[in-house]
Amino acid sequence: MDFDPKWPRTGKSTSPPSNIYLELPRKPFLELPPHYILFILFSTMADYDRRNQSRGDRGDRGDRGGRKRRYRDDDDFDRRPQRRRYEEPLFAVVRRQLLTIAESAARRVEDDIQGIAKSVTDNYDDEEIRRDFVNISLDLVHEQPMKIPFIAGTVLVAHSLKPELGSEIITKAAGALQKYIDTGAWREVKLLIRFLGILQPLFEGDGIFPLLEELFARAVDLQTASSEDLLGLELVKIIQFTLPYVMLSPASGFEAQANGLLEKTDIIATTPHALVDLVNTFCPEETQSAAGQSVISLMQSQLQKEASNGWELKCLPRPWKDLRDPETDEFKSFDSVTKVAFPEITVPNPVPNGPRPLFPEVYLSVYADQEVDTVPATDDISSSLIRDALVDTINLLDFNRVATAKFLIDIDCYFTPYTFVKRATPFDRMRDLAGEVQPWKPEDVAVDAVFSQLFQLPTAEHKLVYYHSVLTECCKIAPAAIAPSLGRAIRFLYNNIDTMDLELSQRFLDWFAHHLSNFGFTWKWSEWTEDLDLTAIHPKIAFINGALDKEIRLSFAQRIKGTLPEPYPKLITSGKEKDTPEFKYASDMAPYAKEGQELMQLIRKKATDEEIEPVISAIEEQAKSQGVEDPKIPSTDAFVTSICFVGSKSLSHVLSCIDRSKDRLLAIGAESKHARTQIITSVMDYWVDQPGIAINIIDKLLNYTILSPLSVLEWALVESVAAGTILSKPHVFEMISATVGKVTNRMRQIVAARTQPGLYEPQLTAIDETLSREREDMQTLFKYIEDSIVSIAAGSNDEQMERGDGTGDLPEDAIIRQWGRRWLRVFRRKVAVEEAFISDALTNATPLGTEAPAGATDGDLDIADADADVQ
Amino acid sequence: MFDGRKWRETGKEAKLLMRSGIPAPRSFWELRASLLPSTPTHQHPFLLNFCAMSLLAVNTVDRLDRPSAYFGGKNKRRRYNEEEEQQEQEKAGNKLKNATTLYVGNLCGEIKRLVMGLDRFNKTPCGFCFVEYYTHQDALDCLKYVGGTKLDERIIRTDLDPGFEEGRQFGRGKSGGQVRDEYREEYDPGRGGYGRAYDEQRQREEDEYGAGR
Repeated sequence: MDFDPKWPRTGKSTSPPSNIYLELPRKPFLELPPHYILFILFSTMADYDRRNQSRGDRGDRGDRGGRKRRYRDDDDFDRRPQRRRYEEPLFAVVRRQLLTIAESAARRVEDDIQGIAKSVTDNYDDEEIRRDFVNISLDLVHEQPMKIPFIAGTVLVAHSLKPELGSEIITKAAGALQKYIDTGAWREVKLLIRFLGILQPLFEGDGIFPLLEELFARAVDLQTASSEDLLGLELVKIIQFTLPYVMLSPASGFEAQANGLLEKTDIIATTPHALVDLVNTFCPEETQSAAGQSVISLMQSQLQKEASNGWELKCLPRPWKDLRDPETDEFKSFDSVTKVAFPEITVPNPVPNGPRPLFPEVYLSVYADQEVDTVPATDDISSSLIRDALVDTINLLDFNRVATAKFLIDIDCYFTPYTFVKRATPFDRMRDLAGEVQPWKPEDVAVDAVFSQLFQLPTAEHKLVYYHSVLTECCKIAPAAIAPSLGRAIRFLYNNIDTMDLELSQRFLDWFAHHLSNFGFTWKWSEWTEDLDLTAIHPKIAFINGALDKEIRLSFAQRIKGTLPEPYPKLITSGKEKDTPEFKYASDMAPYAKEGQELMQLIRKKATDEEIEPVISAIEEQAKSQGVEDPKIPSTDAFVTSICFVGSKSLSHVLSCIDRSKDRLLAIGAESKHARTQIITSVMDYWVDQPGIAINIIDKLLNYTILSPLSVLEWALVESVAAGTILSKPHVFEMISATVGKVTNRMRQIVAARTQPGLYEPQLTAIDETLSREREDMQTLFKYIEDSIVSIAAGSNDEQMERGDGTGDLPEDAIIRQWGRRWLRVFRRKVAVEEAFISDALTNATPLGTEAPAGATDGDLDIADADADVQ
Repeated sequence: MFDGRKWRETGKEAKLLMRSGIPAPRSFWELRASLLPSTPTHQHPFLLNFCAMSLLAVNTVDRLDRPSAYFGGKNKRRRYNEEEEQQEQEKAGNKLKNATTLYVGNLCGEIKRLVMGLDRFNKTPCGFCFVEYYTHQDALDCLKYVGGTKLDERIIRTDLDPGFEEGRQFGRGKSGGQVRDEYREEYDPGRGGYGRAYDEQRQREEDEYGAGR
């Protein structure tokens, strides 16, 4: 029988040829057609070229270029086996091993560590291998913090074989560290010090401790200077998160120093910062039990516990521990290696404030109150150590959410074996496993870390959608393992929604809807069915309704309705199912129906303002004759409702309608306060069933300055306040937050313009005046919010007083007051954050009156640019 | 059988089409708007500098916020001189350095301006759109965070784009829609069955088979 070399790729035959299991005599190399030999030569050369040309270019790891099948027609034998003859050059092997260190559970990481160290030291003279090793090691320290112990382990071994290599990498790390200290990049400082901390046995004398002591001295100075200081706390955090790694290292005899340092940090770490309550996940005034502790105070007590346990540090890997010398088969000792001096690092005094605004951090776990522990308890140092490594990984790798998700799923590779139970162990099984040694559920620990960042106050480091996408990606990689963990997280958050910070419950809502939209909108709604009997303004009802509205925004009503079990479908009213809401003037019974229809036709026809004017006048005349106090109100209503109706087709439609009518709309706003809020009322009424679209349009009207931020507040917090019940509506909170966000964002742009270097008079004064004016406006805005909501929180709002029997004892009254308190908390925090930002930024600004030095050009960015940015 | 026009006319298929979110443009914009929260604090310029500072020249894992080969390859002739090619790519890179427009295939979003992609002949939405953001960073973030995720059952493809120009709103495919829709091998009821080029071929094969008999 003929052997078909193309089998099974031809697809013609479904059964294999009978001789497939027989070894075919291999064609000797020289019998290959000549062009194929050339092909092999070229491909190796291409690789060689690439090697020279793209040194250090690790983005290019895949097999690209030169490897494509070139001779498509020539298919008379299978070339594949021969291609494997090409041997990967050593530098590529080292690169790959280093980049993927500890990633595979199937290989002993100790072998990799020894292998890499040996390859590099054996080829110490190959500059490329050496440089790759140094650079990639440090890059990994920067970007993949979970691998630091493994990288440091490799360096320890490499140093024992070739001390020059150890010195080289330490020098390079020190250079980077110095740069980061000088610029205040504290996370990078933390990671590099951690790396150097594990290299402690290589250093002479006290090694890293003098540097830690110096950082502590700076922290004390900062704390003494101001009780509001946050930078000092950050330095203490760096010390705290370095100590375990120093104690983990093979160096011994440093207990006294570590304990001494720990005693010193105690007072700073345990004194609560004034802002810590404002950034708590749960409102401390609503619930004492759920409120979290600050990260550093928690870490302090965990470290003390660990110090008294002889620094057991159970979860952290010690890949250097079981290393045997391949020749003598003895355990490796790092005591005898050539010691090097700890590099010279100068810590400036005072230390610079980094570009990233600092805030106290609170430890949050969404798996805190389960019957069986699936994540480390807060008295266990593992909770802080694992969280810290995960959080840095998540925030550092925002440029590749797929990689982030993969690291999260592989979390068990980076900590001591048996720290975690097997992946995808069901929660029920955890109960049986609970015993003397408590391993944790890797999925819960990973998901917990993502939530801690999604719910970071006052702001998350990246756009929130990044954290959404990480969770989505995790779910895609391991759906069966992650989905139940998310389910329990959702339950925890939902059950605590009334005491959660309002901004965070809004983030929860956004994430929940977005997440479901990625997974077919399936959720076990039936478990919340009982809650549907709660009063309409209850936080849980607000959440359910808000989530359904968001789901509809991400899809369409009928589809969402189809995903809901009884009795939920009734929550999606027929109004929500309409793509285009009805035009109220279409009914002849409606007041001003004729004019309304006429107006709509004119707008649709893109009529000129002269054609529109008579219709508007007609409405106003008619209103006047009926004794309407402000005839601008019905005319504005007809005009804006018509715009909404004509523009209901798409964002582009409504934008072009608004654009054409903007002069008239601007005039309305300028003329009458009531007509201005009527614009909002008309938009909100027209889109009452799809509030997401309404607030989108409001947003655009703010961009056109047709509405002022204050008018949006007036509309929500006074005109439509409905005895405070409006505070329960998620979309209203979203609208007010977005409005305030526009103001604070503009403020920040002006501050940036004011603080840019190289700015001189007269621009300085001009920008400073704008700044003062806008700052006052912002304060007015915040004061307006404060004043309106304080009365609701206290139950003394006029409308609230008139409700029911006036005692304020209705069950709903308590809920309304709680909404008030939660709103207040959010906006008071915003005030504190913005004011702190402005005063911080201004301390470094060029003082007023600074003249340009002779010969220098004027500052080229002026306020006009800042304005342009805002528009 | 799956002729585009016929398919649009049959009621049942049209419903599927709507489910896929292709037609009514409105179902797009609020989607994106709600996904990319407008809370602006993270856009604070210092923060951006900070990110730029800590970025390594080369990352240890690939970045998702790089433009695809589409733009670089658009006007590319075969080049034998590698240097020339590199320069070309750099030029393309520079043009995209401050790009705020995102080419979004399949489905998409809002912000500064949105241009729906239309079928060249039918003037109906054909599954892509240009989304213009106010800042380059927003466009990059969309690329990183939203590209590849699902929206209403469809995977969103995103790519940086040098900017919308008149004429680019139309599909470049032979039959008027997206080029990729011509060559889709898998059956997708929301997008008119098989790719149109394949569909034609299938039709021809079927006819020939019939004639031969």
